[in-house]
Amino acid sequence: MMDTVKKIEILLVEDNPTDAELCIRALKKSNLANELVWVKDGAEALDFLFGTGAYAGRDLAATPKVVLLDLRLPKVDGMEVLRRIKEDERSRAIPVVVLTSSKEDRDIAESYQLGVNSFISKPVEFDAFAKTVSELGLYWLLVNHPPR
Amino acid sequence: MNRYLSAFLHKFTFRRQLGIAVTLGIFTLAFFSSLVGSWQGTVQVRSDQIEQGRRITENLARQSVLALIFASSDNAAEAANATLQFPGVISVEIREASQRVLLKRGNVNPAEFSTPVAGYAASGNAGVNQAIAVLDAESANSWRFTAPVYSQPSGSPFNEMVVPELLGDVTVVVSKEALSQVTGSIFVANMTTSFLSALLFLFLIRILSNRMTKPLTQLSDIMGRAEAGETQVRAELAGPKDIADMAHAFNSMMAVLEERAAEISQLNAELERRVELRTEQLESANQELESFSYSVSHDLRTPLRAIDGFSHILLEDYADKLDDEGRRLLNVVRYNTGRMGQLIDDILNFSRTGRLELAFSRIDMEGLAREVYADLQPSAGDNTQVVIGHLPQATGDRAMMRQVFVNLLSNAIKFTRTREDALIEVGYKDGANETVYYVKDNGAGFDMQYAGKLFGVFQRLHGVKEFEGTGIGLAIVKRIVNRHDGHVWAEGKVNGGATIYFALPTKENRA
Repeated sequence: MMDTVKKIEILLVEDNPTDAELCIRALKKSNLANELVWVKDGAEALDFLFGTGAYAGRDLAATPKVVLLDLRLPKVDGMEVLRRIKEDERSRAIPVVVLTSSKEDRDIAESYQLGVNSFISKPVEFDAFAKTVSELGLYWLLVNHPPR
Repeated sequence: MNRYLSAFLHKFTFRRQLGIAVTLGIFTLAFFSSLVGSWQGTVQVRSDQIEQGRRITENLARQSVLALIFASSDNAAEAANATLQFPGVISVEIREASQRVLLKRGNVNPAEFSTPVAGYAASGNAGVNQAIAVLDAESANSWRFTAPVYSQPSGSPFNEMVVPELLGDVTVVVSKEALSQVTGSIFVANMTTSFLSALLFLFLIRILSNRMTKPLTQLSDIMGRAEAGETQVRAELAGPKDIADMAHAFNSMMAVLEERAAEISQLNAELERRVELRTEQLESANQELESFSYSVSHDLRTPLRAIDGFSHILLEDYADKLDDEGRRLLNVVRYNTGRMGQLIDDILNFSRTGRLELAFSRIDMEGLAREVYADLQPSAGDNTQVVIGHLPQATGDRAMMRQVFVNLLSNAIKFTRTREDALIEVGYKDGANETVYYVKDNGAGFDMQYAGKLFGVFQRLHGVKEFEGTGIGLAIVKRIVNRHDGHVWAEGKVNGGATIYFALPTKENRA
């Protein structure tokens, strides 16, 4: 396939390396981490999505099938990233799943106001966490049909 | 009567009352004085008219001498006509001594004079041989005068001793019309004069009373303005001394009042400022608390997940390099991470029950209890019997009330797990202005000595090994019930079961 190199399936926005590692490990177990890009803050996530900064010149046609977004991020926080994604016509159609430690009602409410596609609270226990992550990966990558 | 009068007078000002009293007095006085004046005038006029009538009659008697001597009706007519010329004379009669009527002019009903006037008749008889007229009868409309007619002694000396001879008599009837006219006009004149002077007098009194009550009116106006809320109102210290004193007292009272008002508004402003400051502090404290709980929720979980996750990876990837003790130790680490995660969740839950807005509605408590039990049933033992009786409705936040039943029923299930014949009862009883709901079990129970600790945060009366849990459940129950203006308490004994009561105010008694 021609576009194999550019093909992106998951954009993981996570500043905490241990959380990222656990998340990637869980996805790998279900063979879902092959086309995964991991960015470490909100600014980098926006650069990646809109082809700016370090990602200038990136082919924007290669949109991720799902964005896994933490809310607590350095520089630009997750809420702001979500707002920018859902504001912009180019990125509006990308499914965004908030994957966060927070269970705060206002975070949930605000995320849905901004147009989030799903809100997942990370369980503390690894078993539950691994199960959650792999389920959501399966769902968004295999079950769900994104717009073409 | 007195009461009505005073109630009536209360409606009027001092000046108006004075005015009414004086006006009434003066008009009564004027009326009576004109009445008395008229009566006196009438008496005078009456005696004048009677005197005049007598003179006319006597005159007629003298002029009738010749007519009677000669029995000449012509002469008589002449005299009669002359008499009729006088105002008020309505009838004339000339009679001979034999009582034969020589001449009669005018028309008078004889019945009118059926009763003679005793006094005058007597005086008439007293007159000896002289033409003295008497009033011999009086009716409502007229007087009747009578005079005897004697032959007149001539100027001749021979006749000196001749006794005058009675030739006849004359009768004249005079109308009283003139009298009543005069009486009327006297009365009218008197009345007019009296009332005019009364009005003049009243006018003067009014000017005077205005002058007298002016300072009083001014003072009352100023008081009215002060009452209406005008500030800096001061009365003029003018007028009579007592009124000036009153004005002075009013002024000092107003000064004191204004001083107090200023103090109060200053205090109010101070209070408001403090409230604002405290609100600000509270708000910032609240915000800090919220961001704190947010941090706890987010930041404490992340490292916990790392500990748990990497212990898990260790167990998974390096299982062959660990002996049984190593694996046991790692599992202890994982167990405690899980427990810490639970504690964090409980703290956040507890803090949220204090912060969340309550959405009040009527709650079918019985249905709610059954619904919650249905959810929890899988965790209950097969030998557990649950009896949910009739429960009255309550007013409250349904989600929170659900949490109450979840906590109480799961506690009851947990503490009866070791019982062969576990029995859980949900019921109610009526209290004073409140409904008391209870969840009763025959489980492990507790020592009443520690009943006070039961509802504390993370207070546990059993070992973790014995019964799991962090000890937050009843603390949350207490907080929710308290937020519904209710209260909780517990009864129990060791191995004798426990009953947790929660009382909610009835609908009518909810503030």
